[in-house]
Amino acid sequence: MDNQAEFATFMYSYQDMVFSTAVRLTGNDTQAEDIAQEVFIKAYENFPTLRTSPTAGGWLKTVTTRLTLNHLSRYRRRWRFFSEMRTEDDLEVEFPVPDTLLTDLDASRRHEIVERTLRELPERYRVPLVLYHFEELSYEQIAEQLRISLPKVKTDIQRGRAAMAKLLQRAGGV
Amino acid sequence: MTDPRDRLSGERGGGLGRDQAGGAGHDERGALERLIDGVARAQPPRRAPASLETRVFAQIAARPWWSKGFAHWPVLARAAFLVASFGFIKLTLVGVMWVIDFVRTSDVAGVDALHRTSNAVSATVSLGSLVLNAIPPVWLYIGAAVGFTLYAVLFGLGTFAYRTLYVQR
Repeated sequence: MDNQAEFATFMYSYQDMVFSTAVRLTGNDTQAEDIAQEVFIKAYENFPTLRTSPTAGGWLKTVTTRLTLNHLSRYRRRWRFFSEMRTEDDLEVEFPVPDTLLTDLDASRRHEIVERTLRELPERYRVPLVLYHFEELSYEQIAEQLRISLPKVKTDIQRGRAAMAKLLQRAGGV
Repeated sequence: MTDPRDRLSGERGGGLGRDQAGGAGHDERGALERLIDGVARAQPPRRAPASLETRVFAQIAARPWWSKGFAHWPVLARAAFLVASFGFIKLTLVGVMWVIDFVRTSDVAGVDALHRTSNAVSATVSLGSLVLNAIPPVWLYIGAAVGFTLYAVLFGLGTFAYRTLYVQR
Protein backbone atom coordinates (compact mmCIF):
# COMPACT_ATOMS: atom_id res chain seq x y z
CA MET A 1 0.00 0.00 0.00
CA ASP A 2 1.49 3.37 -0.94
CA ASN A 3 1.73 6.29 1.45
CA GLN A 4 -1.36 8.10 0.14
CA ALA A 5 -3.57 5.03 0.31
CA GLU A 6 -2.31 4.24 3.79
CA PHE A 7 -3.03 7.78 4.91
CA ALA A 8 -6.53 7.58 3.38
CA THR A 9 -7.22 4.48 5.49
CA PHE A 10 -5.82 6.21 8.57
CA MET A 11 -7.97 9.25 7.93
CA TYR A 12 -11.07 7.15 7.36
CA SER A 13 -10.57 5.57 10.79
CA TYR A 14 -10.35 8.85 12.66
CA GLN A 15 -12.21 11.48 10.66
CA ASP A 16 -15.53 11.10 12.50
CA MET A 17 -13.83 11.41 15.87
CA VAL A 18 -11.89 14.51 14.82
CA PHE A 19 -14.92 16.14 13.23
CA SER A 20 -17.13 15.35 16.24
CA THR A 21 -14.73 16.98 18.67
CA ALA A 22 -14.40 20.08 16.52
CA VAL A 23 -18.10 20.43 15.73
CA ARG A 24 -19.23 19.95 19.32
CA LEU A 25 -16.75 22.54 20.56
CA THR A 26 -17.44 25.11 17.87
CA GLY A 27 -21.12 24.38 17.30
CA ASN A 28 -20.52 25.09 13.63
CA ASP A 29 -20.14 22.51 10.81
CA THR A 30 -18.15 24.72 8.45
CA GLN A 31 -15.63 25.80 11.05
CA ALA A 32 -15.33 22.22 12.27
CA GLU A 33 -14.55 20.98 8.76
CA ASP A 34 -11.84 23.64 8.39
CA ILE A 35 -10.33 22.60 11.72
CA ALA A 36 -10.53 18.89 10.84
CA GLN A 37 -8.74 19.62 7.56
CA GLU A 38 -5.97 21.42 9.42
CA VAL A 39 -5.67 18.53 11.88
CA PHE A 40 -5.27 15.97 9.08
CA ILE A 41 -2.67 18.11 7.30
CA LYS A 42 -0.66 18.08 10.53
CA ALA A 43 -1.28 14.33 10.80
CA TYR A 44 0.04 13.87 7.26
CA GLU A 45 3.21 15.77 8.14
CA ASN A 46 3.68 13.47 11.14
CA PHE A 47 2.42 10.34 9.42
CA PRO A 48 5.77 8.47 9.48
CA THR A 49 5.49 8.47 13.29
CA LEU A 50 1.71 8.25 13.60
CA ARG A 51 1.19 5.33 11.22
CA THR A 52 2.58 2.86 13.75
CA SER A 53 1.81 4.75 16.93
CA PRO A 54 -0.72 3.17 19.30
CA THR A 55 -1.51 6.66 20.63
CA ALA A 56 -2.39 8.20 17.25
CA GLY A 57 -6.02 8.65 18.35
CA GLY A 58 -4.96 10.53 21.47
CA TRP A 59 -2.59 12.68 19.43
CA LEU A 60 -5.39 13.58 17.03
CA LYS A 61 -7.79 14.39 19.88
CA THR A 62 -5.22 16.64 21.56
CA VAL A 63 -4.39 18.48 18.35
CA THR A 64 -8.07 18.88 17.47
CA THR A 65 -8.91 20.26 20.89
CA ARG A 66 -5.93 22.64 20.83
CA LEU A 67 -6.67 23.94 17.34
CA THR A 68 -10.37 24.36 18.12
CA LEU A 69 -9.66 26.26 21.33
CA ASN A 70 -7.18 28.46 19.47
CA HIS A 71 -9.89 29.11 16.93
CA LEU A 72 -12.33 30.05 19.68
CA SER A 73 -9.83 32.02 21.74
CA ARG A 74 -11.03 35.45 20.77
CA TYR A 75 -14.54 34.51 21.87
CA ARG A 76 -13.15 32.90 24.98
CA ARG A 77 -12.05 36.26 26.40
CA ARG A 78 -15.54 37.64 26.07
CA TRP A 79 -17.10 34.54 27.58
CA ARG A 80 -14.69 34.67 30.51
CA PHE A 81 -15.62 38.28 31.13
CA PHE A 82 -19.36 37.64 31.21
CA SER A 83 -18.92 34.45 33.13
CA GLU A 84 -17.08 36.27 35.90
CA MET A 85 -19.70 39.01 36.08
CA ARG A 86 -22.29 36.57 37.35
CA THR A 87 -22.72 35.63 40.99
CA GLU A 88 -22.42 32.09 42.29
CA ASP A 89 -26.07 32.11 43.40
CA ASP A 90 -27.43 30.77 40.16
CA LEU A 91 -25.36 27.62 40.57
CA GLU A 92 -28.32 25.90 42.13
CA VAL A 93 -30.46 23.79 39.84
CA GLU A 94 -33.82 25.50 39.90
CA PHE A 95 -35.97 22.81 38.32
CA PRO A 96 -36.71 19.16 39.09
CA VAL A 97 -34.06 17.05 37.40
CA PRO A 98 -35.68 14.24 35.43
CA ASP A 99 -34.35 10.69 35.77
CA THR A 100 -34.06 10.28 32.01
CA LEU A 101 -34.28 12.45 28.94
CA LEU A 102 -35.72 11.80 25.46
CA THR A 103 -36.29 8.11 26.16
CA ASP A 104 -39.54 8.00 24.23
CA LEU A 105 -37.79 9.01 21.01
CA ASP A 106 -35.98 6.72 18.61
CA ALA A 107 -32.17 6.75 18.72
CA SER A 108 -31.51 8.76 15.58
CA ARG A 109 -33.99 11.45 16.57
CA ARG A 110 -32.50 11.58 20.06
CA HIS A 111 -28.95 11.93 18.70
CA GLU A 112 -30.07 14.70 16.39
CA ILE A 113 -31.74 16.59 19.24
CA VAL A 114 -28.63 16.30 21.43
CA GLU A 115 -26.39 17.66 18.67
CA ARG A 116 -28.79 20.51 18.00
CA THR A 117 -29.00 21.29 21.70
CA LEU A 118 -25.21 21.48 21.93
CA ARG A 119 -25.20 23.95 19.05
CA GLU A 120 -27.81 26.07 20.82
CA LEU A 121 -25.86 26.27 24.07
CA PRO A 122 -23.96 29.52 24.65
CA GLU A 123 -20.29 29.02 23.94
CA ARG A 124 -19.23 29.78 27.52
CA TYR A 125 -21.22 26.73 28.65
CA ARG A 126 -20.75 24.50 25.64
CA VAL A 127 -16.95 24.46 25.56
CA PRO A 128 -16.29 23.34 29.15
CA LEU A 129 -19.30 21.01 29.07
CA VAL A 130 -18.08 19.26 25.91
CA LEU A 131 -14.54 19.04 27.23
CA TYR A 132 -15.80 17.40 30.43
CA HIS A 133 -18.59 15.12 29.27
CA PHE A 134 -17.62 14.33 25.67
CA GLU A 135 -13.83 14.68 25.66
CA GLU A 136 -13.49 13.30 29.19
CA LEU A 137 -11.04 15.89 30.44
CA SER A 138 -10.82 16.52 34.17
CA TYR A 139 -11.80 19.85 35.73
CA GLU A 140 -8.10 20.62 36.25
CA GLN A 141 -7.23 19.89 32.61
CA ILE A 142 -10.10 22.09 31.42
CA ALA A 143 -9.02 24.94 33.68
CA GLU A 144 -5.51 24.63 32.27
CA GLN A 145 -6.67 24.48 28.65
CA LEU A 146 -9.06 27.41 28.98
CA ARG A 147 -6.77 29.34 31.33
CA ILE A 148 -9.55 29.99 33.82
CA SER A 149 -9.80 29.13 37.49
CA LEU A 150 -10.98 25.74 38.72
CA PRO A 151 -14.08 27.10 40.52
CA LYS A 152 -15.03 28.95 37.33
CA VAL A 153 -14.77 25.75 35.31
CA LYS A 154 -17.03 23.92 37.75
CA THR A 155 -19.52 26.78 37.76
CA ASP A 156 -19.66 27.00 33.97
CA ILE A 157 -20.04 23.24 33.57
CA GLN A 158 -22.81 23.15 36.15
CA ARG A 159 -24.65 25.97 34.43
CA GLY A 160 -24.08 24.26 31.09
CA ARG A 161 -25.61 21.04 32.36
CA ALA A 162 -28.66 22.87 33.66
CA ALA A 163 -29.06 24.79 30.41
CA MET A 164 -28.65 21.63 28.35
CA ALA A 165 -31.14 19.66 30.43
CA LYS A 166 -33.70 22.45 30.07
CA LEU A 167 -33.19 22.59 26.29
CA LEU A 168 -33.43 18.81 26.00
CA GLN A 169 -36.59 18.73 28.07
CA ARG A 170 -38.12 21.42 25.87
CA ALA A 171 -37.00 19.66 22.67
CA GLY A 172 -38.36 16.32 23.89
CA GLY A 173 -41.67 17.84 24.83
CA VAL A 174 -41.41 16.73 28.48
CA MET B 1 -7.50 10.23 31.20
CA THR B 2 -10.18 10.05 33.88
CA ASP B 3 -13.25 8.04 33.17
CA PRO B 4 -16.28 10.26 33.86
CA ARG B 5 -18.05 7.32 35.49
CA ASP B 6 -15.16 7.05 37.95
CA ARG B 7 -15.27 10.79 38.50
CA LEU B 8 -19.01 10.63 39.13
CA SER B 9 -18.83 7.77 41.58
CA GLY B 10 -15.88 9.42 43.31
CA GLU B 11 -17.57 12.78 43.64
CA ARG B 12 -20.92 11.35 44.48
CA GLY B 13 -19.71 9.08 47.25
CA GLY B 14 -20.00 5.81 45.37
CA GLY B 15 -22.90 6.75 43.13
CA LEU B 16 -25.74 7.18 45.60
CA GLY B 17 -29.17 7.74 44.17
CA ARG B 18 -30.86 11.10 44.38
CA ASP B 19 -33.03 10.09 47.30
CA GLN B 20 -30.15 8.63 49.26
CA ALA B 21 -27.55 11.37 49.29
CA GLY B 22 -27.69 14.21 51.79
CA GLY B 23 -28.10 17.88 50.79
CA ALA B 24 -30.80 18.65 48.27
CA GLY B 25 -28.79 21.15 46.17
CA HIS B 26 -25.75 18.92 45.97
CA ASP B 27 -27.96 15.93 45.27
CA GLU B 28 -29.70 17.68 42.38
CA ARG B 29 -26.35 18.75 40.94
CA GLY B 30 -25.07 15.17 41.13
CA ALA B 31 -28.18 13.83 39.47
CA LEU B 32 -27.85 16.40 36.72
CA GLU B 33 -24.21 15.49 36.19
CA ARG B 34 -25.09 11.81 35.83
CA LEU B 35 -27.96 12.63 33.53
CA ILE B 36 -25.83 14.72 31.15
CA ASP B 37 -23.04 12.17 31.35
CA GLY B 38 -25.50 9.47 30.28
CA VAL B 39 -26.64 11.62 27.35
CA ALA B 40 -23.01 12.24 26.29
CA ARG B 41 -22.07 8.57 26.54
CA ALA B 42 -25.03 7.49 24.43
CA GLN B 43 -24.13 9.96 21.70
CA PRO B 44 -22.28 8.45 18.71
CA PRO B 45 -19.62 10.47 16.87
CA ARG B 46 -20.84 12.87 14.22
CA ARG B 47 -20.21 11.70 10.69
CA ALA B 48 -17.50 13.76 8.98
CA PRO B 49 -18.63 15.40 5.73
CA ALA B 50 -17.76 13.51 2.55
CA SER B 51 -15.91 16.57 1.28
CA LEU B 52 -13.33 16.42 4.09
CA GLU B 53 -11.16 13.72 2.55
CA THR B 54 -11.19 15.42 -0.85
CA ARG B 55 -10.24 18.74 0.72
CA VAL B 56 -7.38 17.23 2.72
CA PHE B 57 -5.89 15.39 -0.27
CA ALA B 58 -6.29 18.46 -2.48
CA GLN B 59 -4.37 20.52 0.07
CA ILE B 60 -1.69 17.85 0.38
CA ALA B 61 -1.28 17.81 -3.40
CA ALA B 62 -1.19 21.60 -3.57
CA ARG B 63 1.63 21.93 -1.05
CA PRO B 64 4.85 23.37 -2.57
CA TRP B 65 7.68 20.86 -2.99
CA TRP B 66 9.88 22.52 -0.36
CA SER B 67 7.30 22.01 2.38
CA LYS B 68 7.31 18.25 1.75
CA GLY B 69 9.93 15.80 3.01
CA PHE B 70 13.43 15.82 1.45
CA ALA B 71 12.70 12.53 -0.28
CA HIS B 72 9.86 14.21 -2.21
CA TRP B 73 11.97 17.10 -3.48
CA PRO B 74 12.87 17.27 -7.21
CA VAL B 75 16.28 15.74 -8.01
CA LEU B 76 17.75 19.10 -9.03
CA ALA B 77 16.61 20.74 -5.78
CA ARG B 78 18.07 17.88 -3.74
CA ALA B 79 21.41 18.16 -5.57
CA ALA B 80 21.48 21.94 -5.14
CA PHE B 81 20.67 21.59 -1.45
CA LEU B 82 23.53 19.11 -0.92
CA VAL B 83 26.02 21.32 -2.79
CA ALA B 84 24.88 24.37 -0.81
CA SER B 85 25.16 22.46 2.47
CA PHE B 86 28.72 21.31 1.75
CA GLY B 87 29.59 24.84 0.61
CA PHE B 88 28.23 26.29 3.83
CA ILE B 89 30.20 23.80 5.96
CA LYS B 90 33.41 24.57 4.05
CA LEU B 91 32.82 28.30 4.33
CA THR B 92 32.26 28.02 8.09
CA LEU B 93 35.46 26.02 8.58
CA VAL B 94 37.48 28.46 6.47
CA GLY B 95 36.00 31.36 8.43
CA VAL B 96 36.85 29.82 11.81
CA MET B 97 40.43 29.06 10.69
CA TRP B 98 40.81 32.60 9.40
CA VAL B 99 39.66 34.11 12.75
CA ILE B 100 42.08 31.85 14.69
CA ASP B 101 45.02 32.85 12.45
CA PHE B 102 44.08 36.51 12.69
CA VAL B 103 44.00 36.43 16.51
CA ARG B 104 47.33 34.61 16.66
CA THR B 105 49.21 36.81 14.25
CA SER B 106 47.87 40.30 14.80
CA ASP B 107 48.12 42.61 17.79
CA VAL B 108 44.43 43.14 18.31
CA ALA B 109 43.63 45.76 20.99
CA GLY B 110 41.24 43.50 22.90
CA VAL B 111 43.62 40.56 22.95
CA ASP B 112 46.49 42.78 24.10
CA ALA B 113 44.38 44.18 26.96
CA LEU B 114 43.48 40.65 27.98
CA HIS B 115 47.14 39.66 28.09
CA ARG B 116 48.02 42.70 30.22
CA THR B 117 45.18 42.05 32.68
CA SER B 118 46.20 38.43 32.98
CA ASN B 119 49.80 39.46 33.69
CA ALA B 120 48.68 41.98 36.34
CA VAL B 121 46.55 39.39 38.17
CA SER B 122 49.38 36.88 38.05
CA ALA B 123 51.87 39.44 39.46
CA THR B 124 49.50 40.40 42.31
CA VAL B 125 48.98 36.75 43.28
CA SER B 126 52.77 36.18 43.26
CA LEU B 127 53.34 39.25 45.46
CA GLY B 128 50.67 38.16 47.95
CA SER B 129 52.15 34.70 48.14
CA LEU B 130 55.64 36.17 48.73
CA VAL B 131 54.42 38.45 51.58
CA LEU B 132 52.48 35.58 53.19
CA ASN B 133 55.57 33.37 53.15
CA ALA B 134 57.72 36.15 54.64
CA ILE B 135 55.48 36.56 57.74
CA PRO B 136 56.31 34.11 60.60
CA PRO B 137 53.43 31.63 61.19
CA VAL B 138 53.07 32.66 64.88
CA TRP B 139 52.20 36.20 63.81
CA LEU B 140 49.51 34.83 61.52
CA TYR B 141 47.96 32.76 64.33
CA ILE B 142 48.04 35.76 66.67
CA GLY B 143 46.46 37.94 63.95
CA ALA B 144 43.69 35.38 63.38
CA ALA B 145 43.02 35.13 67.14
CA VAL B 146 42.87 38.92 67.50
CA GLY B 147 40.51 39.15 64.53
CA PHE B 148 38.20 36.48 65.96
CA THR B 149 38.23 38.15 69.43
CA LEU B 150 37.38 41.54 67.96
CA TYR B 151 34.54 39.98 65.97
CA ALA B 152 33.14 38.25 69.07
CA VAL B 153 33.40 41.44 71.15
CA LEU B 154 31.70 43.48 68.47
CA PHE B 155 28.94 40.85 68.15
CA GLY B 156 28.44 40.86 71.94
CA LEU B 157 28.31 44.63 72.11
CA GLY B 158 25.84 44.72 69.25
CA THR B 159 23.57 42.21 70.98
CA PHE B 160 23.77 44.07 74.28
CA ALA B 161 23.01 47.38 72.61
CA TYR B 162 20.04 45.88 70.75
CA ARG B 163 18.53 44.35 73.88
CA THR B 164 18.99 47.37 76.10
CA LEU B 165 18.42 50.24 73.72
CA TYR B 166 15.86 48.85 71.28
CA VAL B 167 13.90 45.85 72.64
CA GLN B 168 13.24 47.27 76.12
CA ARG B 169 12.07 50.61 74.81
